[in-house]
Amino acid sequence: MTDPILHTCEWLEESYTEVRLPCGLRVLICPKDRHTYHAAVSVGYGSMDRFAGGRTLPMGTAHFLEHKMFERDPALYGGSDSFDDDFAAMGAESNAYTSHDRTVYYFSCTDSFAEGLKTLLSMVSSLYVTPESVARERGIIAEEIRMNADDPWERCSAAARTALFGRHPVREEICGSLSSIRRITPAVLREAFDAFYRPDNMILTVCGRVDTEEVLSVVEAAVAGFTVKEPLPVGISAPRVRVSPAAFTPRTESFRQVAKPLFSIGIKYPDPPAGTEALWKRDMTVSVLCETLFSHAGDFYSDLFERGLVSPGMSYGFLVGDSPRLPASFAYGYFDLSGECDDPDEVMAAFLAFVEKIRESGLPREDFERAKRVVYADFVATFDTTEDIASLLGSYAADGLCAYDFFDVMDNITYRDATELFHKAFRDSQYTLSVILPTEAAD
Amino acid sequence: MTETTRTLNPAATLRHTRDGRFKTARLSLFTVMPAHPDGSPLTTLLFGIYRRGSEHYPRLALLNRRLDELYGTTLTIRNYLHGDSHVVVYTAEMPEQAFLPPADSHMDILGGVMELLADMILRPLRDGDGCLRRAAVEAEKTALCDSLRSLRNDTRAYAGNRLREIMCAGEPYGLSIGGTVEQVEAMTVHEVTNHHKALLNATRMEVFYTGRASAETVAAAWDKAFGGWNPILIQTPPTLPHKPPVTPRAHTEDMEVSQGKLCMGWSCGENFTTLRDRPDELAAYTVCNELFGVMQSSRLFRHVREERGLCYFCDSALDMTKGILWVSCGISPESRAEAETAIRAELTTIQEGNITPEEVELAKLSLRNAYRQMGDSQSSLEVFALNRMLGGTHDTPEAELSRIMAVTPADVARVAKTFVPDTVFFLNGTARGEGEEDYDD
Repeated sequence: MTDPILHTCEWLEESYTEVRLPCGLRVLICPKDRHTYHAAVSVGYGSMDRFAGGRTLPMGTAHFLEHKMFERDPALYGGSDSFDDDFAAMGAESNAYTSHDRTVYYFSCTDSFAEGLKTLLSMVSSLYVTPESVARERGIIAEEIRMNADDPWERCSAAARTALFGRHPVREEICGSLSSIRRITPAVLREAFDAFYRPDNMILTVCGRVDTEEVLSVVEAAVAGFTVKEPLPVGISAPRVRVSPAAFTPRTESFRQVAKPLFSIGIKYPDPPAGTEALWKRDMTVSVLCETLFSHAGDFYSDLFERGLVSPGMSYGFLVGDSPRLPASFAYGYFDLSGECDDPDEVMAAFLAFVEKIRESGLPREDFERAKRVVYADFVATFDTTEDIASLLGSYAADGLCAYDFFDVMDNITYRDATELFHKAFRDSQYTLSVILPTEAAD
Repeated sequence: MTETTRTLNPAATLRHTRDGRFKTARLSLFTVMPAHPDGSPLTTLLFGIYRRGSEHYPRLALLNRRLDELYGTTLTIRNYLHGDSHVVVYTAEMPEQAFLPPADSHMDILGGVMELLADMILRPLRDGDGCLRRAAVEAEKTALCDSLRSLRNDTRAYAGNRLREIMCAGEPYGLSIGGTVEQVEAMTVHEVTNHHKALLNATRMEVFYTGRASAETVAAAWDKAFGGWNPILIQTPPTLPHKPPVTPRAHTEDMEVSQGKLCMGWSCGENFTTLRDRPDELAAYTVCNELFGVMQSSRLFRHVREERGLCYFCDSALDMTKGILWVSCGISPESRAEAETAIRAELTTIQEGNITPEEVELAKLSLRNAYRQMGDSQSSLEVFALNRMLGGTHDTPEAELSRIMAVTPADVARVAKTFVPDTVFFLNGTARGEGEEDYDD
């Protein structure tokens, strides 16, 4: 085990300890005076990691595997075929999710935390699947895919993402498609498990009323049986693809059973800088820039809202895929501005005019300063629950960062940084407009 | 953590919890009134108008800028039915002063938030003739109509809502609190202005604060902002249990989506009001619902989702304001009959007493976890306290939990038997999803 590193942020009244075990597992422990304990294992394997052991896995394999990791051999566990049974016996809640670049398993409880921790670690260290259970799971996942396919907001923003990135794997659905999941077999799941579920590709984060030494002793005992596997070649699919700065398609539209048109304006931003610190600063500058431009307190939203061009609730988001694990040629990032309106093209025209105005007159300084406050407050609020703390610490650690450095980085974000990013990202060739129109409009 | 209550004015009560564990403080203003087919849509509209601007912040942007200046304080609105009562809530979440950068640590965020809320509610935008500003009323009417039309964009919520409306038609609980598009379009500025005046004259407001400020500080901030306001208290009559129909009903509606949504409702003829003196029975209903369709290893999860692979989600919810058990499930349209039969079968086995002590124990453990976690969530404690007040009970979370832990399998079977089939609503998906044919091959 490496020497424990104690990270502290005194004025925020927060601290956590970080160690790496001999098997490669990284462990973050954050004592917190709460009734709720939360633990999460983050595996560096997401929907974009399609290449393992010399071949390309079907789309949706990481997500399918996430569903099957809860299963276990009933012969070894007194007839119980699911790790959920152990969590249920403690009254704990457990769940998991898959994103583009990771799979996260977690549980929360108020009692028997050590038992839950052992179960969590046991769950991510072994795979048990049968053809029957895989076939049954296919039906469940098919319904999850249909559920997502029926969500018009999800479709609108997925179409914007697809339109921005020509062949990049970020355009693929995390759950896969109804046809791709037909190609996922027990053997495929085994290959994916062997390639990616390695202790040195996992981070365990714990938060709650815990003693660091006691947690470490439970974890060390639980991982004693972990197999340190030979590394396999892994990566994301289509390794020769490079991310071009231009949007792949400038406009897409489709028809669905919606009451009013939905729009999603995608803005691709190019050239994520090299190096973790620089990337982090860029990510936070993106945050501040989005808030400066698209906040409900800003001119763009209030003008559209007051002219009745958009319904209340227009929102923005951004996704940055630039973790150190990702090959440089695959780094990507984009903003997404979504809402409901009568005329998406009119909103797009207003967006273009707004960008032009900012290009000429500069970012409003007051809005920039206010945006920094909002991003700051949003970050501080994350430290209110054990679940959010564990998720935050784990996510920053996966990118090789300590969350508490946020404040120094934020202090150093200047008006000039935001202006430079604005000029890089807001170029006509880098936009796309995705539109969902009511089916009646097709008639 | 200390809790105190104090009267702010004849219609407003402060429920103050001093808790220094959080980085953010939370202030919620709950307005509670009887749900009414005409009044509730007007109230819904009115609270949207308030959010558009006020005397001191006459544009939405100025109001939002003020919130941002108050260190990114968020202001959210919730609008819902609690049994036969209509509840509208403004919640402000603000960073605690201790965690502001040193240069801003003097800011009186709570005072600023209270002043902003008072300005929105007591001094909304007006025209010269004293009516609420016509432009704001018309814009909000359009927004409300759009949101009513857009309910179907979320098929799960839409189907659940339709079931409630059909099942409880004729009761306040069956109302659409936003009204209908036709109703909203017909509202006049005079009606809305009169409704605003009526609300200022007579209301019921429950003010919840959780954070580091003392009760005296919160009350002083209230007095400074709302001090001259002295409405009379409006009474909300107790909610009656829903009465099931003579014969169960079934409704189907087509929609061009790929997944069907099956929503089922049962009623038991009891609710918070009738069970006020029998809290042990209420605990048994809670355990029954937990093992039927809430906990991780619930009957519905294990037998409908995991064993049959019919759906991604299938779960139940218990609304004891009306004594209704809901089930919601997303399925392929062709699986409707199988799913409906399987769901009914699970409830029937519970009603027949085929329940193991182990599964009751698991349900109790799951509930124990949820009750204990409540102490870590400002919003959960707030909702618990409000429900307790509106339900007329005085139990603490700990007291409720101890009742739950005493529930037996026989108790669960007994209360399960009181559920009678009421209404089924099926949203029939008529579109084939992308890649469907490949999957069916």
